[in-house]
Amino acid sequence: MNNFILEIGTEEIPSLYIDNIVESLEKDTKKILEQLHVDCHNIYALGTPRRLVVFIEGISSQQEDIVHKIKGPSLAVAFEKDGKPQNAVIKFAQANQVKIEDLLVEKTNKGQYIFAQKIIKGKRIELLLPEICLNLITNISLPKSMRWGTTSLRFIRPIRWLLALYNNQIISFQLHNLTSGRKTYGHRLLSPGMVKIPNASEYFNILKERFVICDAEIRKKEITSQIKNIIKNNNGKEYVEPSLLEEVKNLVEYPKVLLGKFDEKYLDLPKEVLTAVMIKHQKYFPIYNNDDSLLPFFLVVINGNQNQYIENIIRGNERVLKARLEDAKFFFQEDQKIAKLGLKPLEGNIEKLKNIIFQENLGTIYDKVERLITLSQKIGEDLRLNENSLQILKRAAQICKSDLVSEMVKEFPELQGIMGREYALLQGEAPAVATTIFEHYLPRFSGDNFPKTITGSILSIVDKLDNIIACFLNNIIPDGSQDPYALRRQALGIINIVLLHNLEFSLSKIINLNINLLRNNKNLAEQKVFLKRIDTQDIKYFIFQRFRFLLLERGFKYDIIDAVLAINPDSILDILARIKAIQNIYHTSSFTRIITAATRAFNLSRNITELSIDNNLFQEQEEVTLYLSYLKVRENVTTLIAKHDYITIFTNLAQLNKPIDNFFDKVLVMVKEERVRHNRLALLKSIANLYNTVADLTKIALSKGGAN
Amino acid sequence: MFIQDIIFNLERYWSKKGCIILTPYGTEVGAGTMNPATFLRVLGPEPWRTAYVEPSRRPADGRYGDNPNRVQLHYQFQVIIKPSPDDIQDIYLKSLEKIGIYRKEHDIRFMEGDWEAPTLGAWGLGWEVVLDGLEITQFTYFQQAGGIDLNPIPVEITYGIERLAMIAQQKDNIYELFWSKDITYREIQHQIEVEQSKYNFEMANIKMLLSLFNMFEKEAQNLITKNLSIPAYDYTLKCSHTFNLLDARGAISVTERTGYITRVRELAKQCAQLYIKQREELGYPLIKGGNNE
Repeated sequence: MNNFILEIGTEEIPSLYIDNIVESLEKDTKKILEQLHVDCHNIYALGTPRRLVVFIEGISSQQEDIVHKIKGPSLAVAFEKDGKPQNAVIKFAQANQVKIEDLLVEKTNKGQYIFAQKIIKGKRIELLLPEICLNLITNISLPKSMRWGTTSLRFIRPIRWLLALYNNQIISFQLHNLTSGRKTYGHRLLSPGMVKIPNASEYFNILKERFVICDAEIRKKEITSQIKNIIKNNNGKEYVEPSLLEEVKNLVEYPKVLLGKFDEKYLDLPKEVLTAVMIKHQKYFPIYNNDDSLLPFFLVVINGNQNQYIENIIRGNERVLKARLEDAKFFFQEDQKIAKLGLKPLEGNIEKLKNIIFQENLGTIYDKVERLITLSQKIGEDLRLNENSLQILKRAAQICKSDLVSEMVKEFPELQGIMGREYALLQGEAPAVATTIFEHYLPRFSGDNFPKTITGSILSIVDKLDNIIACFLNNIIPDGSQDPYALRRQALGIINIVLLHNLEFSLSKIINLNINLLRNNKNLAEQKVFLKRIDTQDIKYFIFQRFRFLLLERGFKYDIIDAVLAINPDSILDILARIKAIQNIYHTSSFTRIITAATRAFNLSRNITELSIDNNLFQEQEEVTLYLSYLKVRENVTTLIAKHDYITIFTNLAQLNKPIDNFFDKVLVMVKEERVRHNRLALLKSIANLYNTVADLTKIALSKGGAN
Repeated sequence: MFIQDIIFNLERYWSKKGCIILTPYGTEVGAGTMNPATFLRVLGPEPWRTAYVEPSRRPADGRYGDNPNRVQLHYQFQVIIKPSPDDIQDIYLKSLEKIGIYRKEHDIRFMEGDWEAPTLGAWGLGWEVVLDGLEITQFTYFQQAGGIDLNPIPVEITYGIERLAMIAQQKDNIYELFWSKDITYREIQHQIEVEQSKYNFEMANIKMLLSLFNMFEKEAQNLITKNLSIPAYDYTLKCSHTFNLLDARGAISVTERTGYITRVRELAKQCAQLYIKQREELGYPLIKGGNNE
């Protein structure tokens, strides 16, 4: 079997990017081989911090011949009666360097045509591989790129060597000042020297001997099993932090898990403080008891297995963790001291929020807190919260950002909200206030919990909404893969919270209020000129786009979603109610008739603006009947819309089906007499408008067999 | 190993690697990067290799000598090599052996750590070098300085001398380090930390500093119009340090902050542009027919 290997030797690639790069490398390889008609058994792309590898197993030694067909003139005009080729055919054959007798006739959907067939002989794979390698390296999609030394090459980190072998043969190519060869390097610390690979198929074994495991999945399994073993020996709960595992597997080429200890006195710190230090800062895995409390241990995944020095490495890591925990403990105690003196750490911090900028041109966190108070009270009132809940909400809003200036959060920013909750309890706030403070950051990432309380939900919604609007004002609007402030995730968070707790409130009112509060901050009069002009609808549209994805994901039909969003409803629950009602009756013949009627009424009256209808101008019984039915249905619909009872609304709208059909059967709309014509059009327009209060039904795509 | 021996050994090592050993700059800087031996010399096509110690001031990091890990003045060992050599990571790892850190005995990791200095219009990509869990070095391939794309690309290696000493001497407290066999870090630095913290946070005369900032800025601008990039850059550094003091003192509101940073960056950019022009006019004197590798 013929094998090929390409290794791009680099300086340490950030762990976060490796999986994506490897994935796209595999896709690119597959695509290039397909385009070139090169067959193979398997393609593996693999990566470590120091190398990206493409291994093509069973690559065919020869490119397939490529058959190229060029369409010529139509057969019907190609030959004269006596069978002689026409001039056009002769020229076509000449142009394509094909003999006339070698021309083919093939059937197309436009009849039979003359074709010239050319066969491009496949090349030997060795001749194609250099180009394939260059193509892969230079076209790889990278999240960030840089330059180094004197080369103008760009890559994620400097490329230091290139290995390219087809079986035992070097595939030689030149990339700026780098030339490919059979040289590679083992583990940076344990096997620093250069090594030559005799044959592509031996690459992985030789590297393994030199402490490099190329396959991230194998490294991951290795780490997991070592961790589980140690946890078992220490009677801990079998849990391996998944996101840390993903990160750590790409920080090492040859993982070894070591167990370290820390003093039990640090277990008095809030658990989240310890895990933040261990996981985020030091990349250590904590060990939990079965009741989820922490054990005074940590696991560090080192790069290698320096057996005789392991004790020193553990001591070093323990010393670093101790210093970090000592800092945390110091900060926590300082804040506790304040509380013991009867002072309120969060309260005292409110003024300090004036020193933290929220966003460019948009003032400080202090200003933001003021907005959050107003906005959350507004939603609270709309939702008719009782006085007690409103008070909790107000108090939580006042101090929800105060932990940002605590020493602890300055040191460990990811503890925002968690320290807020701890300090709130410490200074004697109601537990509901503490919970609301913690919950207002939820969900912090995809898959995170949602707020459980109504007050937490409301504060979370207004916090996120304010972030979104602020970014829009500063023209930081998500675009393609660009969403640095995760505004899409925040919008989705808002929607999910609303749906989870059935929160009915007017989007445009709250958005409008929020925009005004941001624009009219008197401290920022001068900065106002830098802000982008946005209106309520821009924000609603952004939220609707997220909602649309969510609804599609939940299996609602795109045309129904678009029909409802088109009329710009004002609450998320209302949108859902409309969509559900339509989805419910989507396949009924009555709905098909409603759509047909709505579409006809809409199409005829498309350009009409005049809506006044004059009873005296009616001439036919059918238009009188339609008018009276319309009045009745309109009255019912108006009351039902207030109740969001769309199912009954559609039963009502169905009552118009027959009168409309009769109307179109018997009444000619486009009569000569202008007043009569206008009167009829005004009636149709009014009816179209009535349908439109529910959804833009013309957007519904009925299946072809649907209409009766 | 004593702090001074760490310095000696690193100086000797890098001088053997072709670096000229310079001294700290004569005005206050926040990092070795701000020394013109880095900031100006990384610009343009001329090769450059240097190493030096830089006492680096971060007024807001003052802790009155009470915190075992944090000080408002620490010592960096700065290495700049332009263009960056192909085996620079290996050269760096070997430098650690000179202070008793052997790669086979430790877990040494190059962890993503991109670097940016907004007041200098400078940024780069690279790593924090982490030794057994402790960050000991910042390792950066500069991409821009003074808002100018760099070509060739220099590499900057910044060791935290105190960090290295804490590993070498196995200490948990910076003040317990020995500078030499007779004298501790506490004996040399503690009074400095106490007094400077008091100055930075409580005593610095805000009104004076605000007017100094404006005067320094004006002087720098004037010097730029006179084609004097070097003294203009000195005044840019003075602006930067004055801004840091005002910031530590809490005298600059958050909304004003961005404005000050932009003003310093603007000066740094103009100095950089002027300096590049001057070197070009001088015919890039350091290009002596191939670099000294």
